[in-house]
Amino acid sequence: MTTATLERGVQILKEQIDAPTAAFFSSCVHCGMCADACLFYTETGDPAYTPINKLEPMRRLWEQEYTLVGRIKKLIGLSKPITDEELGEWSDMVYHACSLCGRCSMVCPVGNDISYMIRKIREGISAAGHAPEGLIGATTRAVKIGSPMGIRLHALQTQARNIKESSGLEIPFDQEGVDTWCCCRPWR
Amino acid sequence: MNNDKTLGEALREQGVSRRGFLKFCATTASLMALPASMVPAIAKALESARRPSVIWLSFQECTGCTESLTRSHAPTVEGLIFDNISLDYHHTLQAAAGHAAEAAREAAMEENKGKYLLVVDGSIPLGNPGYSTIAGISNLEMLKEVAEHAAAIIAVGTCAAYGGLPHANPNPTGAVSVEEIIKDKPIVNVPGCPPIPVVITGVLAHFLTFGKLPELDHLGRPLAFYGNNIHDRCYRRPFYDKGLFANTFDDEGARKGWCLFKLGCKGPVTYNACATTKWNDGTSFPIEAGHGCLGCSEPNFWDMGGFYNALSESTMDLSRTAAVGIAAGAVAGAASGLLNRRKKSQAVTAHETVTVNDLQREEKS
Amino acid sequence: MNSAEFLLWVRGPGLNIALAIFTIGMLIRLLEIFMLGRKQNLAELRSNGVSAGLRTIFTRSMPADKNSMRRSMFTFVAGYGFHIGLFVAIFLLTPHIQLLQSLLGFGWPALPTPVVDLFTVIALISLMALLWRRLTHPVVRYLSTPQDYLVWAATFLPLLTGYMSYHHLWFPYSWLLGVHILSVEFLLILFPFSKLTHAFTLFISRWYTGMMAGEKGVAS
Repeated sequence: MTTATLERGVQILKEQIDAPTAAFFSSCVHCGMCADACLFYTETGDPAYTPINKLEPMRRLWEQEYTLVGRIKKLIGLSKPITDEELGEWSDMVYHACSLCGRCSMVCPVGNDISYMIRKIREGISAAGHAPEGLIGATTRAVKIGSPMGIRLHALQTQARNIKESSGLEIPFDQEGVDTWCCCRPWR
Repeated sequence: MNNDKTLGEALREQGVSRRGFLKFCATTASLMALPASMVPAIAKALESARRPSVIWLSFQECTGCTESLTRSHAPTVEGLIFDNISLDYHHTLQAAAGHAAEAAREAAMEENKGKYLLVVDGSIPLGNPGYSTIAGISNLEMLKEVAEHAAAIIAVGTCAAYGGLPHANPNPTGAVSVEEIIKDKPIVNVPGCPPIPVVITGVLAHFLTFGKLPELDHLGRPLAFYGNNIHDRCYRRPFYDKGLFANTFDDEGARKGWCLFKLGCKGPVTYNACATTKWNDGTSFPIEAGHGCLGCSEPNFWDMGGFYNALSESTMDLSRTAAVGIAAGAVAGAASGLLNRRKKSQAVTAHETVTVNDLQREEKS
Repeated sequence: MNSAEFLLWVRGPGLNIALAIFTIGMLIRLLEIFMLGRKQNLAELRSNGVSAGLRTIFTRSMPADKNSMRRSMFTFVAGYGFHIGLFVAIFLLTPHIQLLQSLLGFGWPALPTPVVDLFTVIALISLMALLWRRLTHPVVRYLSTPQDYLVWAATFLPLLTGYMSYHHLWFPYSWLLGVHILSVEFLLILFPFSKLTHAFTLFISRWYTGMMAGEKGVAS
């Protein structure tokens, strides 16, 4: 049974909007300097990758819910509601086209922390069920199986035995006070 | 009230030489921006003009206009021309009084029906006809009665032209201008508080020469005298342009003759001939004497925001508006802010933890 | 309505209505922002963020580094040309200082009017350059909404009509002055309901960004 819905996503976005977010959206003057700093834009030349544009659904929600003008516009039917399709479209923007590197936040002349807001909009988009497939898969496997790759304890123990046989290194499991700490990494 | 003599005859009798007369005509022509070729026409018209009958009605006024126009320090031709129109009715200058004066007026109106000039100074109170009466007749009634058969009306002074001082906030007498009452006669406004003497004689000369009133601006003023604003002809303009202003009366800037903008000069929006023609035969004018222009030839000049407040300041109390705005904004803002908090806390309360089972949409799982 | 009546209206009721809407609107917006609050930061703070926040309010006026300035050179130059020109025109011209003095109770020295005139021209040219960019550069055009163009016009007109008034250009002075004041009233009324709010909220933004970075112990 799933509870991922548009309403859930919108509700979480509403929670996420705080005073800094409101100040940031009030201050953006559409100067485009954030795009000059964003590698996703500079390497592709696609203006859609302008960092502040990646936040458009959340900005519209802020306007509609948290400003007097926006509330009035909503009352008289002049505002565009956030749609499920929109959140779906924006998923790529905030997950695949942003690494939260923060260059945009560093250059914004009015002092907007855009990557801070990208992190927030991800909360809403994932709650609405639009997180990227790969991330959903990895998260599900990590929680249900024990690792994002889906490796079970049995396979890990087998690998530990193989390592001990070939190198003599003992890999302790759940032992207190040991000297070495081993971590596994994917083997190609 | 002898109308047999022509204007030319009357002037010669008073010792005005032909040369002096022509010089006046040339001056009048140039003041009115008429070509030099018009001078003979003006001379001929004035020479042979029958002294026109002029009825001067004084309503809610201070007599300043009469003082200005009849002031002659030395016999000037303007003054003589003025003396040589047939001034058939004028409170200050007439010899008659009481019933005799009113009778003279009525006789002049009858004899010159359709041809006399009506000059008005002072505003007309509409609040109560009893506020200003002459011989028991209200200003309003007398104006309508005399205007009916006048050839044209000259509203002398800002009171007659636009309401002037009595019209100033809160206008307790309900004062209005001539043109707000008379709609069917040609009216020339000669505003100023008071107006410059030569302006009215120029208007008269034009009327006598051409039989009609001179070209007027959108406020009914003769363009020849009110076509430029004081600012554009002010000798202190270079200081304005450079940004050199007197800060107080008698400070260094004031003594150096710098611009009086900061001391409330309304020159930029005042149209009159003061800066060029000046007063008292070209002696001086207010700005030259060190005081900012009051804007006295403009409508509502008493309510233009204060004589000593700069033109860029508001005519109303801005700080009060700002204070009220901040208070009202604080209240409205607090209300809107509280709405925001409530909406947000509702969203927080409704929060359900997103588990790994909630990441997929129904149709995808 | 003649020019004398028009001028009296814009200097009186017009200005007061515009000022009232401006103050009420801006206060509403500011309180709407502040009262949303910020979730308490439960992490261990490297610093309380106050000095970082205050410092960022000033340092953000300069580009982050040479590289960023190079990448955004046009916006930087035209942006400052416009803003500096605008501030000089508004705050360092004698008639404006008189007006502000009547509102605030104190004034300050002015620049010679021809100098302000030069800055006004710089501002006008910069604005036209910025409009050209908004219409032609892919990023800025993509981001732009009708409001961006409306705000541009609302900002351009007071500068233009002010310039025209001073130089007595083409129209009778009384009308020019009245239209100039009216254009400022339009700007004031549009202010709280558009991106113009950045004039005040940018200090809040810079403060929060600086503070949050300071709490994390990083540069801003």
